[in-house]
Amino acid sequence: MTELNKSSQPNDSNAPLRDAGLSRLYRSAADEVPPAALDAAILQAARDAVAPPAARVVPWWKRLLVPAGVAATMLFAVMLTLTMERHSPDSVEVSSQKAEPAPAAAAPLSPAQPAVSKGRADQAATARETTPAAMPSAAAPTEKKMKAAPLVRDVDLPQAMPVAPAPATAPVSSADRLAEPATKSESRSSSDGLAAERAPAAAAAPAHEFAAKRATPRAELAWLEEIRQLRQQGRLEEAARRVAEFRRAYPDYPLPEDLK
Amino acid sequence: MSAPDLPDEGLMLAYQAGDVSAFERLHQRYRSKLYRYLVHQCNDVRLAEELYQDIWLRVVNARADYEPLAKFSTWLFRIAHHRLIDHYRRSARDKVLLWESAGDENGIEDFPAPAALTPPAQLERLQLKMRIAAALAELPEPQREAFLMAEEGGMSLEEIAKATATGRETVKSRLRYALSKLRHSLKDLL
Repeated sequence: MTELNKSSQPNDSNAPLRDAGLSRLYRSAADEVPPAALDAAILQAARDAVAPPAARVVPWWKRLLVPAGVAATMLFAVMLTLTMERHSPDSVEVSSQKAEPAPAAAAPLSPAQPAVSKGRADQAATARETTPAAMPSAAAPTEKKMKAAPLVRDVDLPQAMPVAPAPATAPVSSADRLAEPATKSESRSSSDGLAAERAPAAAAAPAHEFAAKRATPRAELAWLEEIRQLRQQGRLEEAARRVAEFRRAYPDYPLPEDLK
Repeated sequence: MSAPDLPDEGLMLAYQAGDVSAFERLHQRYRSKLYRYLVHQCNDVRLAEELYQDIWLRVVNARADYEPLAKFSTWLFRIAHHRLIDHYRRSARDKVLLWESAGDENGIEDFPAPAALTPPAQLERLQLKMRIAAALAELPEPQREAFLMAEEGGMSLEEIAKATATGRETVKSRLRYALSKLRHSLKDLL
């Protein structure tokens, strides 16, 4: 034990900080000890604190919790992905596009006149491209009627096919395009079978062209100009048909006097 | 060096490393000292036992963070001091105020005359214990604590100051007054 101070002076102010007699007196009576049970509990706690943790026995079903959870999550993700793919917008559009040709086929006498409204030029182009299936039944009687006529419109159509691949381009010069079929119609007027074969595809070509023109900002004017060209060329029936189409496409557009 | 030969700080470090026998040795060295300190501080055996167990469990739980920055006795009695303060705060707020505001200048004139001696010899020892306990109980808590830390913990003024978070001169003053009063109370036994 460390001696705090050593002094022999009895004066309180200089009294030693340790009193040997008092310490001896205190020690003689200091025999209190803690209960043995209390010490045993303390020592046991000290042992437990440093003892290695015992290996716990995990029930078999608890060991499977994590793998089962992972498997369930993956299964859910796969099912969700498949469901989303089945009901994706792309698949809905494809199915709807496939259904569109049916209404076009329901009007056999007007193969090149699908019901097209303003702003649906692309759908009209697609419908016209898919309408060849309906063309033969519709085009055949019409083509027969027109066979005898000097102006065979369906025969002329194949010649317009080279222009079809550029649907959204600027309006093609109507004079050049219409002039081409006119010159070739004379050489093909005798090949009926050939005309019959080309009628379906040919019928789709001008429709496709006009649909492309509708997509351009100045489509109305070009369309009207083409109608004028047809009239000038004496192709009145075709011109009338084009006027009707124009009216359906642009019901609010005022027709010029010469085209009414 | 075997466990019994190590100083207190070495035993605690050995226990920190996992040597339970080191703790048992350390416990053996301080179990009675700490117990008597708590008995005289609380003046209640049951409370002393409760605090005694709690303090040792705190030592066990603090083994990972133990650093021999001071003597082990200083560290141990510091834990005991704070545990007592916590108890007083929970149980009796006025006792905490009494502790904190206890004057260190209480002179001998503030205490009554010592009780008369009891003649039977067979009761001498018991009376001695009772006299000492009574004398200690009469001391203000800070003075009593300083005396018990010096006697039971063998701590110096500096170590007592560290354990009680006070200054050395304050501890010196408290210890001086405690000795003066105990001498007065037990002068017939000295």
